[in-house]
Amino acid sequence: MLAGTLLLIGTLFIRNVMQQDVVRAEKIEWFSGYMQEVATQNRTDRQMLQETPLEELEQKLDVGVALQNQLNGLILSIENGAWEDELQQEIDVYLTAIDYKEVKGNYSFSNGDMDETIRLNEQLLLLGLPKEDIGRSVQPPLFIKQIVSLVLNPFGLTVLLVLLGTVITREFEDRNMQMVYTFPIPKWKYVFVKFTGLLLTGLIWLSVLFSASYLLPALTVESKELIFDYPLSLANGSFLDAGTYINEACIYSVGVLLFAIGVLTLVGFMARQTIISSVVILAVFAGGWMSIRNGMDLLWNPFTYVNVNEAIINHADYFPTGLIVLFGVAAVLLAIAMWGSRKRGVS
Amino acid sequence: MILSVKDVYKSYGKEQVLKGITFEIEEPQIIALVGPNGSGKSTLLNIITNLLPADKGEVTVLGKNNRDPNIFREISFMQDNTVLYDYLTGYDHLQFICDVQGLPKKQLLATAERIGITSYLNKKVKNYSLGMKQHLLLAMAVLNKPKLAILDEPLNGLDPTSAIRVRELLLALRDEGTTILLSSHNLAEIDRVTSSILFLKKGNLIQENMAEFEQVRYQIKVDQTAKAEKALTAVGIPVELVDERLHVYRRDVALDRVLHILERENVVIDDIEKKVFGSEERYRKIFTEEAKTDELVQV
Repeated sequence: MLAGTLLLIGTLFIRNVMQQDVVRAEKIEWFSGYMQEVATQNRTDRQMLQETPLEELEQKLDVGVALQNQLNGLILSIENGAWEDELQQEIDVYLTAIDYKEVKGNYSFSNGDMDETIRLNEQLLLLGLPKEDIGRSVQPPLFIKQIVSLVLNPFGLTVLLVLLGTVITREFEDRNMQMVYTFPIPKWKYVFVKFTGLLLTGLIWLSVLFSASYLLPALTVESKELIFDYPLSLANGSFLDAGTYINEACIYSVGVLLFAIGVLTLVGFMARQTIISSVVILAVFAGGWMSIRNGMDLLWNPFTYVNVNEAIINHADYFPTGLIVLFGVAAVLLAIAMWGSRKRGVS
Repeated sequence: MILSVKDVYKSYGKEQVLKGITFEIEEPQIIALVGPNGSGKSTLLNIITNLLPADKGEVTVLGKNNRDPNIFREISFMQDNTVLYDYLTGYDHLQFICDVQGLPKKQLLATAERIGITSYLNKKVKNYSLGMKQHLLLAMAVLNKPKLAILDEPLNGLDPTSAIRVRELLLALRDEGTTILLSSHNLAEIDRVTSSILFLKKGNLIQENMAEFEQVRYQIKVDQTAKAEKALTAVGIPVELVDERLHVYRRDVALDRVLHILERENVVIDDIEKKVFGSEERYRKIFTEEAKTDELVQV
């Protein structure tokens, strides 16, 4: 499990390193597309103006020409690697693009997205930080964010639980538990010990996950100054710095792990069979994921936090109350598992 | 009271495996639990050790309800070898018990020495033979010097030398004050060590005291059968005449007295055969209704 995690982190990091040049090329391609879109409109508008002079059309052409020039300047800044110019020009482009839309020009990027980008760029200029491609960054906090998004989600947790789950069910299937239950220890204690053991294993895995995600870029790539202050856009329109994001991700991860191990312990000790246990865990987390997708991402729903990245970005106001929910549900699941095994036989 | 089983019932679906089992063990001894496969022996042992809940009934071990896990400080349960962890060594298994029971390491080593498993103690269980696993299980069962040791098929898979050693160990444990409740299919070995047998038949228990049912019968061939029969009957010794031979039961009279009476009546004895009826004979009677002589001993 640890080897698989390290392999995933390593592979993703190498991919990000290799994609750094591609990021710039894609940016140029992206803005060139918009420039082409605006240039085409400008050409059409000029022709129409020659045929029929209209004040509205004239206004649109003026803004369109300005936008085309700004896009051209932006592309040059990207090509030259002048990131401060790039940020400022991107702001200018979007401000003009919003005006352009008001004069009935077409610019196929939503106003909401442009507003968000403008605010982000202003923040970055304020902090003196270049813009990063969040999905392909090699900067430590942003790479950690990428790993958190990729691993700490319903799918990743289900894989983790199915792998860990055999620790409980195999002892029942191999009948080792029949021997263990003849020791002078109450049955509920076995459940608690298993829960604790699995939790410790999970915590070690989390430590490796976060440490490797941090150390790999930190030791191989030059970190930018103030990178932990990098602003991350939240769903409520505000920003969260990357350092705080990582802190919350670490804390939520522990809470989610606690909840997940609680589910695993209950299902493992009830089902006592690997296949049944795996199917039930899969069904539980698939059900949880579907509940979130259907608008049940409420404060009291522990599955709201299973996708750690989404919990932080989309529900900033749930922190830290969400942790209490996760801890509480985990405690209830553990209590049910311990109570359920109290009188139950093993043979 | 070492063990008290009261009115225990257990069903699997519609099949009733145990139908109100009741018995008690009051003093240190070796008791065998005997029955054909599927008779409920393992079920009963699992219920006694609370590995399986009974549908009804009560089990008390050393004065405590069997649901109290602390009973395992004073009792032990040797199960079949599938309960062992293949990837652990024999030492790991014993150390685990020592840790849980709070036993010193010297007790581990002494037990290993006593059972004769020291040479392969550090090998992984997956490399053990069936006999080695049986020895390890036995060592685990006696490690905590239990007052009651419940042993499920302790002689299974043992070669004759090992079986003799285990038998001697069981007798020694009994002498040290350990009560042993064992299940086994080896009726000849049971005869050698047990003082009482619990036969499980169709969910019911038939308890037999070895002293009561073990029958030694002398078959005496004489020159004057009728005279000998008359003389013995006259002094109150029950005699059966089978195939011209007088059958006399040891529980009814000492052989010396029979010989003395026959000598007094001038009856010439041609030969005497001693026949022993053991648990196998009793087993056959209970389970197949056929009585056959188990062992023939020439006197």
